[in-house]
Amino acid sequence: MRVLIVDDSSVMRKIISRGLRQAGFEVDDIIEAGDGQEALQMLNSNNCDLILCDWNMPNMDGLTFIKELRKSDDTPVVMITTEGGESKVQEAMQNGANGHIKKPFTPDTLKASLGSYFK
Amino acid sequence: MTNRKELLDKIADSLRITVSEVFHTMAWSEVVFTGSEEIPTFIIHNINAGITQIFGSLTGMIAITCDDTLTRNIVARISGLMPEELIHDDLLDGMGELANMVSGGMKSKASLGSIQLSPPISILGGSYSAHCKTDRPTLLLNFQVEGHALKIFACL
Repeated sequence: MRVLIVDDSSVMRKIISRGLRQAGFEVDDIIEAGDGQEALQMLNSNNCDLILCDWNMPNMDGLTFIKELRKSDDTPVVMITTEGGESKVQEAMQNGANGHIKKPFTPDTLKASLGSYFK
Repeated sequence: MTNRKELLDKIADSLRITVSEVFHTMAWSEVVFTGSEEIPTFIIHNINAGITQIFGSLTGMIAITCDDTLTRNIVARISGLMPEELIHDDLLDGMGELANMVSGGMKSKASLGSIQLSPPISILGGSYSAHCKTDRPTLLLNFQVEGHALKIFACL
């Protein structure tokens, strides 16, 4: 299972990586991107099974990333963000996101929200 | 219409809950709320800070401050590194993420209408003063985390 983490915060990318392992998921490889643009470039040469993506990022934000991604790719995308506003969540889902996790989160939260992608 | 006292009470309550949630969930730290006050303006000196600006139906900012030791310990814990492994950029990034999570949590819990949050501003430093001129008093929430002071400022 290869997971792509898209977040402009290197600390948050570490938090998510650690959370995935603490949740007990069998992750073979984690690759990271600092924004949506970089993520799209990485996906050109790396197949991923799951994408975990922040909302607010420079260069290309999470919503724009999903819209661009969905033009040619149906890899599951789960948004990880501080803002759990209903309208934002709905907008992400309408544009192709598969789920949403709000920060702060625990490994148990990740297990409950992402478990279906690791079966 | 919500008056200012009701608004500040709502913000204070949501910040207290959010701070406790963020530090407990991400850094396994217990946070003790020690009191709140309104101060005339927002000035900070020689302390680490993470700041998020607020736009929309409310304008202002939320700031979180703490000393170097607490910054290093908390950022180490949330990122899974040892404190001595952290580089300057990790600390800047970590302070920003703490501010981001506290502001975002407050926004979700306080139901403040249509507001947007800026990307966080991080400040690390030993010799500076920063002043935000506001036309209203600033709400200051005081906490203790592992023997160190943690302050949350709401300038709205």
